[in-house]
Amino acid sequence: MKAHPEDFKRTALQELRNEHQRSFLSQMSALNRVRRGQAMEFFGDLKDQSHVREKAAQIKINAINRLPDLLAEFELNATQNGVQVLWAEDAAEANQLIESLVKQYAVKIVTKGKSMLSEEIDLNNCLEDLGVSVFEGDLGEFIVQQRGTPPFHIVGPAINLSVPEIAALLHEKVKMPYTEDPLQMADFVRDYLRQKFENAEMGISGVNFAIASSGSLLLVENEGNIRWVTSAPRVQVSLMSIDKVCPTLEDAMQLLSLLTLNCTSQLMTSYTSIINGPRKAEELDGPEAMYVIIIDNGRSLAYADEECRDAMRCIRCGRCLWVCPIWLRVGAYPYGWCYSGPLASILSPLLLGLDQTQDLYEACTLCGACQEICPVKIPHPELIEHYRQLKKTGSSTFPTKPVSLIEKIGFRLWAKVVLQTKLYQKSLTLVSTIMNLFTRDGYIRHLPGPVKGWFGCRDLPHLPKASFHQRWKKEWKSQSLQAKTKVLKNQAILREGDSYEQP
Amino acid sequence: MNSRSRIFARLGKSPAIPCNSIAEQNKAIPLKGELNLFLEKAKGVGAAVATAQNLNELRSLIADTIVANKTRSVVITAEDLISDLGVAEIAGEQGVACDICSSSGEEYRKQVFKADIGISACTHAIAESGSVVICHNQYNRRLMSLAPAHHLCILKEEQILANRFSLAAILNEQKHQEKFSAITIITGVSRSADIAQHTILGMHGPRKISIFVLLAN
Amino acid sequence: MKEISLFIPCAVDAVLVDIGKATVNLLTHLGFDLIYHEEQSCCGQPAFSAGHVQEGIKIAKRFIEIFENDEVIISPSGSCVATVKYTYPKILSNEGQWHHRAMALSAKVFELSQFLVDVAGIEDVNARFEGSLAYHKSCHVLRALGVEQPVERLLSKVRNATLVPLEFSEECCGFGGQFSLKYPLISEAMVSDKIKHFIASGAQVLLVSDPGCLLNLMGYVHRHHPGLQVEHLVKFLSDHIEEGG
Repeated sequence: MKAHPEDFKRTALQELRNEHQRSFLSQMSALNRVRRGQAMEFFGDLKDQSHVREKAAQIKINAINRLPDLLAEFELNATQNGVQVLWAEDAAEANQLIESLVKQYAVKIVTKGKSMLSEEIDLNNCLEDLGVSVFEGDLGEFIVQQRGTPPFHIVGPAINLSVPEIAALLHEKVKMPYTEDPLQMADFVRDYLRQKFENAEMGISGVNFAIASSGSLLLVENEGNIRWVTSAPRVQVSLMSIDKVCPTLEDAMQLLSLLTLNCTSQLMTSYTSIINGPRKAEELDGPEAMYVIIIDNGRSLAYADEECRDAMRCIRCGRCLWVCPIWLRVGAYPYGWCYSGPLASILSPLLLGLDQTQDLYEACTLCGACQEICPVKIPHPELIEHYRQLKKTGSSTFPTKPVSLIEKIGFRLWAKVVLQTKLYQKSLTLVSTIMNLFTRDGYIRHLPGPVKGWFGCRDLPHLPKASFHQRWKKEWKSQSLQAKTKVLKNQAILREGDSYEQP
Repeated sequence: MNSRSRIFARLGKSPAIPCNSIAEQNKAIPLKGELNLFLEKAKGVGAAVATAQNLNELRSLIADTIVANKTRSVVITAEDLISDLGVAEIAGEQGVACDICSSSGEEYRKQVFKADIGISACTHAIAESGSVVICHNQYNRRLMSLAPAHHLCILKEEQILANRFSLAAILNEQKHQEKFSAITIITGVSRSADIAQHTILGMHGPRKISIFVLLAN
Repeated sequence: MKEISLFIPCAVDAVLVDIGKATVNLLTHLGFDLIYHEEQSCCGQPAFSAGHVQEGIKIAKRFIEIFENDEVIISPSGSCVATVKYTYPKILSNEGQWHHRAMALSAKVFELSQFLVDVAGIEDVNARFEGSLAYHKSCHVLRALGVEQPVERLLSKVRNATLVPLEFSEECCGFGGQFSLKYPLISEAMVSDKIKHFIASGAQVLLVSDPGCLLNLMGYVHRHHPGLQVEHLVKFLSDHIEEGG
């Protein structure tokens, strides 16, 4: 999928007008919270969230810090299991590798498990350019594939579409006989995809966790399409980004439960696959050849900045979207890529650069709701402030266009003023006098210039003639001394009485 | 320099401190799982469960299932337990075609894609989540518990483990990656909520799962 | 009793002077001695959240110099307290001595309600209010500082007042400093939803504990729902103190 996060503002404006979507997302957010709360009742060791999140954070922090070792260990063990491990620095290289496999195995049909990484590298379009038919196996992904839009939420790609919308779409694109019965619609898609699952020469999946100690892949799902994609075709290709590697199976189990709890309020999803390699000699199903393509796509560059590594902890649970006040109002499309919400705010800048994604980390109030629920304790507000700083000061790791001179000078000037009391107080008086020229009936309703955005929907009370500082000096300092004297006097009076008790 | 070298060059060296793996912290992992908890959780995720005291009772359960579901064909393997049970005979008695999958790849695929019920034996189960675990080999094949609309699995009580960490411990002990190409943990039936949150069962996998537990003596 | 050093945020100093007055009033009424360092200006939060860290560092150092000898420092602004408590040590982490001084200062800075309840052990400020209240959980107070219970305790002791539930009370009101200027329409969507929930709660007054939230909500309410009351917690408490108690 081609990324266009620079259209954030324009798209956000359109999406804000979609009252139905806003109300729907708000309801879903509340429902999500209730469901998860109910699920917690049953989740034994997961009940103590602070303890569990701390464990999970430590696992991921360690894993990211030890990335080179873990990747080497994974490669060694996976190779011993009969997996062919390939490396790709960027999207172009990854697609080239897949293209050569497609040619090698004379692939006509590809079935896919859900993989955001495959969207990152725009795989589907590349395959189609080669004349290969690609079928997303996950029902939600299948629906958005027909629509040609990004997944709305990482867990529920078509969550924003109504039944009639989906019915019309499937009727038009895959000739489904029109019905608004969800069960009948699912029946149609099941039969349609079943035929593809059985006949595809190649299955392409993502990876939830890559286990270094055994060279295994861990994949989770509820529908069964990932099992099809990794069991029925002759060739399996699994795509993983370099940050997916995890030390041991136990570590993965720890992270897995938080993932499934946050995604779908489940302790375990319907299917958890631990995939070690291609079929063994005596087996009759499973792929004959299995490839794992380890893709960088900008991550190793970001890795040099230790603070940015915090962003690589993400296990893609998508819960942050449900608590983000911005995402809940503008939805996924303004983020312009396969990632949206706080997840995108911290990841997309690393992969697409700070300039193109500026709105993704500027359109944030730093409220911290995402950080609060993140299973691996990613400090989103700090990361976002870090990106803002990198954008302002530039860095060798992240070349960016310089900020406007006006902004630079503005802040320097402001800082100079703030550092000198007299100048600061005089400036306050000056600014408030100017602003008060716009007062009407005690309120300022409009101001030109950089602050005019405020007045779109708000007023500002007229600024007081005297600041707190000035009034303290003139009135309250002495009053406070008087009060202090009064308190001391009272204490003295009281002390004379017998009933006085020491505080 | 190829891509791999360039990526590693940018990543630099890992710190010398070894990873503080959770495995070290979880030394006291309970292994054995409780039968009643397993049955309760399995039911909770939508499985039909039943227990059998002996092989005969197990045979009846299987026979009943085959009849009740108007089965036309089942697919099984030549794995020991299944053979001992004589599932092929049971099916035959009910007039149901039974394919014993021991033959060629093409034949196997035809059989497994058309069967109504896939019968397999599990290698483990997890009590805390009501899951069954199949370590795939030439007998307990992947597609058998995926392609048919009904999955019937047979479990021995001794195979029930406490939790997901118990499973991880046992799999690591046996060096699972050397023995099995894949392991599937099955928790309930295939499901989706991708059409406006409506629950759809049996999306791409079985719509029904029956778990029969052979009790320990 | 401790001497309290007042940390008056720039938004209060310049615009919401009444909140500063109320802070002085309330703390004096509770018997505290107050100091106000007249050299203070701003904690530098706007610089940090915009990414102009170098400018912010200069401001931070000056702030530390002004306040570091005080026993305890109180502010009616959660976001400013969070900046001093957490951002200062972080941005000074490379500067040995300064980092220590920032850490030492961070242990002494408190948001007002947190100080009253958790440090001074005061929950009852001797206030009375006949009516219902709703409380918007200002983001920095709630998450950065972890202060939720102290506010509820203070409100629970206001005689005859009822605290009613507010839907999405923990959701951001849409201020976010420069966010409200740069993304005005998204900000508007957030503030209008917040006021919608306020109206639905049936409460007579909406209380907040951050001056930024107050400017935002008050400004919106004045434009669209004149008559609805939004107040800062400290001003509310100060206004409703019963003398002679």
